[in-house]
Amino acid sequence: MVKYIIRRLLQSIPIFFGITLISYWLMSLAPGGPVEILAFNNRMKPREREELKYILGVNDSLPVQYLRWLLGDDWMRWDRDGDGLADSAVLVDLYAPLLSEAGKPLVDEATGEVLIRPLPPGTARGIIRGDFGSSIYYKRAAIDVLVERLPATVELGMTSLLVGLILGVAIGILAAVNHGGWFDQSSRIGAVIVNSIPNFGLGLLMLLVFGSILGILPLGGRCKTTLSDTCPPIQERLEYLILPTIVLAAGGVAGYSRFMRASMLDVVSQDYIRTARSKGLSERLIWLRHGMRNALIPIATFLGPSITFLLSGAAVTESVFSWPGVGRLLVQAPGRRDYTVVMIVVVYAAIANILGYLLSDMLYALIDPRIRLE
Amino acid sequence: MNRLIRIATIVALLVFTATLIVPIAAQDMGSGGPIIEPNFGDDPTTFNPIIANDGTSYDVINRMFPDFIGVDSATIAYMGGAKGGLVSSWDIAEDGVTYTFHLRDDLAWSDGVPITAGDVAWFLEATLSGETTSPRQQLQDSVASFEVVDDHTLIIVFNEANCTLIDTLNPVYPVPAHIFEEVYGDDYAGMDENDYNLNPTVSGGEAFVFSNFRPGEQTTLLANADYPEAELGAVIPQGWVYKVVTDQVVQMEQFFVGELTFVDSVPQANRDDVKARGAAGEFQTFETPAATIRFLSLNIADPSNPQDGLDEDGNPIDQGRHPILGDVRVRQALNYGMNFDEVNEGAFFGTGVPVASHVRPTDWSFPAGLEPYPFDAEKAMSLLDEAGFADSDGDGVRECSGCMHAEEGAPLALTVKTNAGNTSQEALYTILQDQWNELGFDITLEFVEFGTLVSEFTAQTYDAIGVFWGLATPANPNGIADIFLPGADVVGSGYNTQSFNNPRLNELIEDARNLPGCDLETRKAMYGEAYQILRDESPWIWISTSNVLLAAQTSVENWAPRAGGARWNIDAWTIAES
Repeated sequence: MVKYIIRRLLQSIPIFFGITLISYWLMSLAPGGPVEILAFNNRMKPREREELKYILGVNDSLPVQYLRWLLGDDWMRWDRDGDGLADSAVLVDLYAPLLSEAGKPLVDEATGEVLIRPLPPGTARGIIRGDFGSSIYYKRAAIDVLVERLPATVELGMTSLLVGLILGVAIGILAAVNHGGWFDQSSRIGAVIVNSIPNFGLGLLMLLVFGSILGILPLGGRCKTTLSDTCPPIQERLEYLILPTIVLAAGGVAGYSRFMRASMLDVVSQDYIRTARSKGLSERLIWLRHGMRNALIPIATFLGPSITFLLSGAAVTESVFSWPGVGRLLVQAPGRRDYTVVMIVVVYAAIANILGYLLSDMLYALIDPRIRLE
Repeated sequence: MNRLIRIATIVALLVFTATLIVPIAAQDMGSGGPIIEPNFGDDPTTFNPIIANDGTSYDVINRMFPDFIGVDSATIAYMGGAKGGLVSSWDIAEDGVTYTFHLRDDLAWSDGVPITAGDVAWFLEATLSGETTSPRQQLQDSVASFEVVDDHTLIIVFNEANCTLIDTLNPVYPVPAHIFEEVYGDDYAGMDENDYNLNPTVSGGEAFVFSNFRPGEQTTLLANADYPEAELGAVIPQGWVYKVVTDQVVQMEQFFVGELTFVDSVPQANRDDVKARGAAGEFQTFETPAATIRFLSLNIADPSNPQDGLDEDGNPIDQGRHPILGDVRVRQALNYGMNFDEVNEGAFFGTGVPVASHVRPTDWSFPAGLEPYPFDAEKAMSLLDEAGFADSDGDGVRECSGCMHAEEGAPLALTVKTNAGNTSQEALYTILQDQWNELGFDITLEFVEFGTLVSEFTAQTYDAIGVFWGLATPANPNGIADIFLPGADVVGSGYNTQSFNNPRLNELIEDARNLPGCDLETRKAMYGEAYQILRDESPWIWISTSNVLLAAQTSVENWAPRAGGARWNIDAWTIAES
């Protein structure tokens, strides 16, 4: 098992870099960029705008920009003599043209050569060394912006997963036991309805009914609005979790229940179930001990990706419920061309994905004795 | 026995007195419950006024730092001694560039240190250094030097005398120099990434002081115990909470159930309902003109080859002409072809107020007789005929037939872009598309993500882009210099993205800014002529401003918003228990 995990983790490395490379490339295709956003200022002179491009490194080729983000630029342009200016460079320019106020390179009238100015050494260390850069919008370390949103996302994600799993499995078993009966039909129709309503609509509907009309649950937020600098512990504010959890878990309940039903029906047609029946075991024992345990095995394949999905933040649900999580951050960052925040969320989601699928495989091996991970 | 009776009487009197004192004390500082206001945007990025550059940050900063020069909420003008301002008066030397500001001496930071001229000097020093990312470059352009004379006297020398110098000081705030010196030192360039920006320990001089910031959730300020300008002698609300509510529907529902104290802009979809409920006594409401104008920028220059308006020597550059919008008659035809009543009903729920130019009727520089274009489809079509656009093949779209800038036979086609996701903008331009297509245009609509829209706007590669423009309060008519003068026509950053250049307008704006003596009536006449030129030349189509509806719970006592400020007496708002 350990060997398998190590091998899978090693295999994940190119996947991780592939994800980041494609994401970086896609992001660079979006019209405009941080310079356009930062330079949307009537007072900014063309020279300042051009210099900003050098500071942000957007004049470099895309592979160099990606490498800078990945590995930093302190090895691309460095200062040997300690005078504060770079004197050596690889991949990037050591000097930049001296610019006129109009942002055009200045030329030596005598020689006709472009006048140049030395550039400062690179300081970025790259994500490999834990430097995710600064958020262009928030003006602070991108990692801090992400980390402060994580607890809320984990809280909502794990609750939703738990509720979705417990209810989905239970409904699936009951539907299989009563297959063709009214409960089976109702659960099928319910699953279709739930899957047809977008989270946005379902969230608003829930808020209007339970928060506004009935007034029995809060209208969004993570805890009561007070003057305090922190939310109370989760057990003291469970009511705030109810509606967003229902909305997020609804899709899971629908999916797990249908999958569990199908899996149960598949299992109960197996020979060993027939054998169990012929031995005179009770139906309850057959369904729960022999049927359910075996039917649960395929559910494990869902679990990893579900964890990933929920931990990556549910953008729509978090927005409707004013939930201060990662999802909302991801929605807002691209519009601001806050590339550092977009990319740190991509990295986080990529790692969560890789680990989620690995977890699935490990669970599969743990639950199903027929499977050996080698 | 008598002694017992005397003691009992004294005790009874003491108890009686205590019952009187308690309610009086309950009216004391912080006794009114917190004000909870929705923040529809996102987290503030900083609480440091030197580098703040977004509305949400300023919403908080304005509650916990005094302005340098206050704005009188009744006259909506800068005034020495105005509530919320540090300056009590100022003198202008004969040279016209030396201003001596006298500061009030009764304001203090939350740690008890008095607010002095040195605190303003620290702000100016950091901003003028050019090392911070402060967006206040206009200060660098206008302030030559400054000098702290004593704790309550500050001299600022400007580069040149003009009539808008006080306006340029609008973004100046005092900052706690004794703390900033310790936290930032002279590392102005590193200011952006200092943790103190979101965790200030000292604020003050306003009704509230900073308490805490919960990312993604809320920012909390507490009543300032030492606020000398409190209307009732002490700040009554316990605090002010700026709560993130990212969905407008949810925001209004929270207001309806009483979770929010006050909403400073009721969404259009809820206006009628809130107004009706306000009239029925369910809420308090107040309507006031918005500080924004909705406009459609028309690119006059060739969008396939965007160039700056001026070369390095200040001479105009030949930017080519937009094949269609380069002709003023076409731009006027678009104006005449807009049926505002239809637009107002269809897109703005009847709340729009037509505007003729870059000025609101409530601004001091608004000239009498400046009228929006009337809806006149026949006039619009006749202008298009004159401009050489006719529908020669009968397909409903006009083509160039002797027009000035397009190729012969080229259709009268334009792409109009606006920001996706803004339903009123989308509705507005869908209606205008129909109206203008009726005239023989072939309008293509594109709803574009806002960041992309900004990029195209500054790159000057568009035909027509519709967005909003915020107007300064107090009104500063010189603001049009930033939008319509050729110096602001800089590809990539300038706001004159439509490449408008009218020599008479340029002259008027310069003259009105530099008028010796700054006589208000003479300046008003100059700006009036400038607005008329803009209206007639139509580099923008000024579509509308609107009235915003403010609403507060009926439980809020002393809620008395004014056009010059909804929160001018926020320190007196008393939120009764409900």
